[in-house]
Amino acid sequence: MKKIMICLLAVCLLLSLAACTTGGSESSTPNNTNPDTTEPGHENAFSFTYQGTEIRLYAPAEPIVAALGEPKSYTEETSCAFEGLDKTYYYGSFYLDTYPQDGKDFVYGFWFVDDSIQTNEGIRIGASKAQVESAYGAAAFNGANAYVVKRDGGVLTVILENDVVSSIQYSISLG
Amino acid sequence: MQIVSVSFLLFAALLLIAYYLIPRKGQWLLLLAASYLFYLWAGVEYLAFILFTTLTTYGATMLMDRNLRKQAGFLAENKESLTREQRKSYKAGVKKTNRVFLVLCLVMNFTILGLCKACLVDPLRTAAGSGTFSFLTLGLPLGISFYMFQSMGYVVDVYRETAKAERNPLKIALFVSFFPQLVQGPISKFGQLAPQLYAPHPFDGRQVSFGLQRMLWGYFKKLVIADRIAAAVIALRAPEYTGVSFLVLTVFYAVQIYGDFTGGIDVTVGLAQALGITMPENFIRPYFSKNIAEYWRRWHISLGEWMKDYIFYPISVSQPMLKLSKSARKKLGNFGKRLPVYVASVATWFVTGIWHGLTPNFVVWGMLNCFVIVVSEELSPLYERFHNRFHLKEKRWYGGFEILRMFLLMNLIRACDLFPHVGNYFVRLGSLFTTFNFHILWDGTLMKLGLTGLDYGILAGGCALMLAVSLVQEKKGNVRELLQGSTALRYCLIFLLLVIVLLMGSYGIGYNASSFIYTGF
Amino acid sequence: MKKKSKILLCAAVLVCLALLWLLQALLVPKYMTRSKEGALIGEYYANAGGNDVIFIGDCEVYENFSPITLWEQYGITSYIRGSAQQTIWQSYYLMEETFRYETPRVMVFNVLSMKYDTPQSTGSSEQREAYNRMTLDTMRWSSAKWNAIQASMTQEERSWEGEFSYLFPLLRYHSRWSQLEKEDFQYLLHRDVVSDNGYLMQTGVKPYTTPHAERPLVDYTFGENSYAYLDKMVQLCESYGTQLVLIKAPSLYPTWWEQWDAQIQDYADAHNLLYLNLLEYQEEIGLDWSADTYDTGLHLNVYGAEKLSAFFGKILSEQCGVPDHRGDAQISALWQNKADTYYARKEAMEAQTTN
Repeated sequence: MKKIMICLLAVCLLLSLAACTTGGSESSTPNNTNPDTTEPGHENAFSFTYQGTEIRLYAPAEPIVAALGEPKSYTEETSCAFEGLDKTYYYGSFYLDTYPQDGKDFVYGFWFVDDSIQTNEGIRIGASKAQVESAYGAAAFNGANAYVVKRDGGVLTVILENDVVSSIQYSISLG
Repeated sequence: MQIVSVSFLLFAALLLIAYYLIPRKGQWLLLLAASYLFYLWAGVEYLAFILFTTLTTYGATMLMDRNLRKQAGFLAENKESLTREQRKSYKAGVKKTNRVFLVLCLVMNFTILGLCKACLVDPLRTAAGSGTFSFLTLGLPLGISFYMFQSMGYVVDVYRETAKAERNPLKIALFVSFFPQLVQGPISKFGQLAPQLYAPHPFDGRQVSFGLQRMLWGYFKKLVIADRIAAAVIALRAPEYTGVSFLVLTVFYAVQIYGDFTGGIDVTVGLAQALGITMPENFIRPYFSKNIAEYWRRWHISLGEWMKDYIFYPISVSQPMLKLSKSARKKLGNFGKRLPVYVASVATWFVTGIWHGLTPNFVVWGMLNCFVIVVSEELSPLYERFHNRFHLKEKRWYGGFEILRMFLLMNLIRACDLFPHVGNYFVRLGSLFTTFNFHILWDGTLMKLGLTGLDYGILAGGCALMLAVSLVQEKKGNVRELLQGSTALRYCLIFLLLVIVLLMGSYGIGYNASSFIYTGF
Repeated sequence: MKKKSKILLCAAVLVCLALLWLLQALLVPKYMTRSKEGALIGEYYANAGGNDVIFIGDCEVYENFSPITLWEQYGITSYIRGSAQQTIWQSYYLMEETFRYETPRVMVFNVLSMKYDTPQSTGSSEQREAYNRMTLDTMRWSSAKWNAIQASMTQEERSWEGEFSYLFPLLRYHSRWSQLEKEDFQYLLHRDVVSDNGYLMQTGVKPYTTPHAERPLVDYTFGENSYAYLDKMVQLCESYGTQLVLIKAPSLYPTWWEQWDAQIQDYADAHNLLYLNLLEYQEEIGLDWSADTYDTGLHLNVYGAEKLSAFFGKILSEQCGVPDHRGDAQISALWQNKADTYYARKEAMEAQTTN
């Protein structure tokens, strides 16, 4: 009886100790932040390709804008109190907008305005609800008039009007 | 409630005021209420855990106490009629019954602790790590390792009759939950802490002032030093940092952990002191140790004592060990005599290792410590002859050398904490003998670790201050006592320290001028 | 002896607090040369009292309306309690705070901020914080300030630390000591006045040429939280007998969707409020988008603001019955002073713009 109890106790003690960690001692240092596996930024964020140029959320805007050539129109939007400008470029089939950070511009988002271009999943303005659903899944439906897909700090919104796609928008999501 | 938080400071301030305003008889009840409030802050769902430990602790000690009192009565009543053997066998019977209560209580509590640790997320670890802490997961109950070890120590003490059972359940509840030590210890002994908890404490301006000063000093170590250097410690764990960089990591980590752990203990002990309660010291300037045994008598003392009292000692005097000692002595001579001690050491260090963490690196860490202890114990006659031959012990420089040697050695062992994959640790360790990249010290590598030149300046100044204070403590005793002499100087120093903590502490969001100028998504 | 040491301790604590206060004064951003919007909210207190009209809202009020013009043309006394990206919950608590200082006849609220239903929706966390600071930091201590702080935090941001740092900005700006600039010492104990009764003047011209495009929305319905604060505004103004006027300033961007306009119109009708979508009165106002904006149609410059004020003042005096104080010598003298500052500023800025 005594031996069984001692064994039992030893097992329990070991079990408890085995998983034991403490807040304040050595283990409180951030063991979990293993730099070996730190994920870099937004390399898999939403993108789409227009005439051979890949446009990706969060990407530096300068090379993209240079590659796309002269925009059909261009506007700048100040925000209250902040220096630096949000910029919007119009390329006929879509708008591209950028935000400034540390003196450089980055892609904030893009949205389609005609059916000459399509998403990587093959959805374009005018597509049917069924097509959108097969591309993005029923789970993305907001229950009313849009499919919303969130991924890697970005969000894709497909808006329907009378069950036909009326707007396709990509933008970075605010944290 | 983190101890470095506005809420904790407010909580402590309100408690202190109330504590000295109410009738002294009620002070311990206020402490109990405050401790439970502190506990509830972490989440009402955790209350069950601490209540369970409190109730089982109380229940087991009461049952044992009843038996012991019965035994005392029986023995007194039948003083004349019983023979020595009869008394002995009666006592053995009682001991046996009590052992059942003891083991039941320990099994129940350590099972819960084990299950908690195995299944629940430790919010402290997760918060410090990836930041993916989900509020849906039940976190590890606050301070469970500390209050459980402390309570179980008390149960064992009652069983061993080295502590008298406390019969007021509310008092036991206070002993288990006393909030300053919930976050990171120290693990107190019942006989030392409990009487102070229940005693009335008249307002003693000097104690309160000393306690608050100590808290401030703790915040300095934690906020200005430990939390600042943390970024570099994380960065240096990347695989490309080998050789001399690894050596730098071990030194940085030594600074971080010392600031973090002793700073936290200073806040805890300081707050208790302001409440009139003296807690045992958990650190006595460990980096001044000259050998590993001394180091472990000066670092995380309360854990070491716990392990010694409740793991090392019982194992080394257990029946099998005594038998082992006997037979080994015959076969191995003097070494055989020491063998059971070493076996107990291995067991203790194994347990201490996994106490720090579940990952294998902590076992390795414990074994490394044990290995160094055993080797230095075995080699001690050799050392002694060497020391005597050259009269080294009398030379001051040799003392300095020993301290530096110990500091570097412990740094190397401690760095094992940082690598959950033990292989990574040994790769770094090996690189010390293959990579002599001293140039990283001046080629700008150190500026890429997330610290600016200004940060390094603050750290250097902070470490110099810690070192100076430690030297004064080592040579002349309590710095606060020494400062009592000059009021003006004392006020100025305290204010200066307060300003340094406020301005240079790593807390809050940190001001980034650029975020106020540019739009930053 | 014991009494003496007690007195000494008290004195030491007081000196310590005074020094900390000074330290805080040194470390907080001054908003005197850059991001002047951050200084706006704090400037009100010296001008509180005697204002018949109070404007509340974001840049669409503090850059589009000129109180000096209202005074000169209609004798209307007014003040603009605007701040950068002011949210509707902040607007509400600023309104509440204003009533502690004075009871204006008319409260004008710009409804653009209805589009932000929750703190999350107003921007990234850094951006939110910077804007919150500019509105909340210089508010005086009151329950309104505390509530405004609470309302401005997202669920995750709520913490004693965060909220306390709005009461004691030292806790927020403590690490700024290494980045102090000349203006921090220069404005340690005083500030220049950057606005004219809350109006932040702009004299540059950058004409509107191209329409600013904006993404269509999934849902044009204003959020519950926005409506709740609008309801609270209505009740608050009612309880003080103040007329609440809803406006949408004639800024061309961000887009004021017609669905939004319809909702506000319905709300105004239901609550018997005056609602003016000033975008519909561009011609009457006489806005010339090639000359009256400094940023291609987002905000008006001083010339546009004067035109808009001339138009809106008429409505205030004719439809809202705001009285003309030009006959009152004391008030006139006060406002003459304000006008002098205004014109001096305008001249100096125009000189700068043309250079």
